[in-house]
Amino acid sequence: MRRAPELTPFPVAGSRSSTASWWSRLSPLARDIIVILIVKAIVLTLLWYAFFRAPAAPRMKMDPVRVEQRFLAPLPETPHVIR
Amino acid sequence: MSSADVVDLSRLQFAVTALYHFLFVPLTLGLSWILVIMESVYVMTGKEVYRDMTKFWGKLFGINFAMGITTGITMEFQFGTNWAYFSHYVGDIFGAPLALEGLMAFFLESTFVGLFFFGWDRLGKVGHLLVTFLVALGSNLSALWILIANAWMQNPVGAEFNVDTMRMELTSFADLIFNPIAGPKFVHTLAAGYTAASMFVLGVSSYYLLRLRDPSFAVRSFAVAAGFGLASVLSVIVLGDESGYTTGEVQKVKLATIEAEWETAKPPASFTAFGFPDQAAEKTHFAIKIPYLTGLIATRSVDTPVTGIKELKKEHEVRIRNGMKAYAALQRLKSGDRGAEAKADFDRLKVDLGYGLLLKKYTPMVVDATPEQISAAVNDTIPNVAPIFWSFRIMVGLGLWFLFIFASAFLILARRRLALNRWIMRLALWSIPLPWVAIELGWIVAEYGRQPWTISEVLPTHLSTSSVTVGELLFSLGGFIVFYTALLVVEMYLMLKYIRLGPSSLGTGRYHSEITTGPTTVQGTA
Repeated sequence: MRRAPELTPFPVAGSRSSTASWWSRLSPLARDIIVILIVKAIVLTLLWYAFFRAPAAPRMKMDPVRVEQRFLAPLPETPHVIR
Repeated sequence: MSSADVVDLSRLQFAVTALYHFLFVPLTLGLSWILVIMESVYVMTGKEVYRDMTKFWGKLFGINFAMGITTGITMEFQFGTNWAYFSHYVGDIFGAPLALEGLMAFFLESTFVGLFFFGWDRLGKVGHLLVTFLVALGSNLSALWILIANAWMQNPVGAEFNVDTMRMELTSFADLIFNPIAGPKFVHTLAAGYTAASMFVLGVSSYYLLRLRDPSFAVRSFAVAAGFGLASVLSVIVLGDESGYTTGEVQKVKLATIEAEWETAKPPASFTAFGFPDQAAEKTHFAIKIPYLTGLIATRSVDTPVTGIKELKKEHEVRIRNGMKAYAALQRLKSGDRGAEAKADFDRLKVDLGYGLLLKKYTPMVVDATPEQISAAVNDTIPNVAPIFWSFRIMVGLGLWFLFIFASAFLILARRRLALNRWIMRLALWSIPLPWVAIELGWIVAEYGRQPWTISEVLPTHLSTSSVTVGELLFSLGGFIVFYTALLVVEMYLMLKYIRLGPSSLGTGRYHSEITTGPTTVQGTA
């Protein structure tokens, strides 16, 4: 039987159960995939936030002076020893 | 910890993420076309079994797609953070292909994947087939743009170095698109993906057939995979040959390394089928050679030599010395001397600037490099031969194995003798992981064989990395390994779960665990 459309924009007691019933109507595979996608998005965001949120080359571009210093000026690190 | 550790860890991190990412990609590329074939037969014949086949294999495609999607984005994270100088150098060239890849992947592919799964009851037969076709087209086209960008790293055409911006800038979009490396690389990679997906379908169908489960369903899936796989593996071999020819034309070092060709032999060069390359002694021990083969593949002629590693090193020494002059000319330009003479000097020598930059690994004073430093840089121009030599041979050997399996499966099926030849089903089942091994080895040949460059003959790898710390790299590498391994474990779990369920998972009431009647005979045996 079709449910009558909600008439109020505010959460009502039945809204949680309607989410639950939507979730229970999904196939087990669809539920698994939705959970995995959500976890994946969270993990990727965390990895990005922890290690990659301040790229040295935002939008694949750097200050040319910095590039010039790297390529043309002596490097600060100890050069490799020739064996 | 030195800058060498940062370079090595950055390379390892990129290699790990790329190799993990490419565990998911081949199945998406190939299975999408197999779905198109199955659904086309359903539309043409109206037989429900082909609809079930499309739905069931589509379910496995969906698992792989969900696991694989966004696994490539971690490489884009690394571009700006770990490979900032590389990113800056290529930003102008990579912008268009990467943007187009994003459009193809996220708009065309993902949208139609949604319609594929949820449109069965909402779209007509032909409409749904069109959606399946667009899923396949979208996934394959998104690979095109990535491979165009990768081909440019192997053979940087249609771009010029800009002294003011200190980066490569695009001069011809057409040259970028029609890079001679790009075409064969694209089709070779796609065909390898089709082969992997065909082996997957062939192997899983064999699993059902060996257990006499759902034979009508399984034998049809087996037939589609055998035909598509045979065509695909033949394409892989033909395009691999074409790839070898283009490599011989523009990546002589990679070709010489693949062949462990130390000396420039009298043409046509022979192919070393087996041997133990010894980089220190510059020779291959216990070499077994097939006459003429390398010369014919790499030059398409009997009188063109394949340049050996020793001769290439002599050429590289000349280019490094020219690169030192180009470096000096660049320093003059950057110090404010924009006279005609300084510009002309740089323009004449800039093609070898990258070779001069190789010396930065050994001395900050490139223009004053000693003969020992030059000699060390010359040695660096040749990647480690043994891993490339062996990776290539194992890849080719596996390719020939796949040809044997698909040709045998096709012929046995055509003669309607499948039930009498259970060995081919066992071989197909146990060969399921092998295309992935071959594909990963192919990438190792392509990318490790490009060393010591990130952009061939333009930008050395050791200058491409950022000033990140070893700790950051180790932690992010650990994070990626845990992330990808978890995804892979979940993928394997879900795949095995739905493979075991088979078409019964569709809930049609027509298959294996849903029916009580005993197994029937395998079709195509009478």
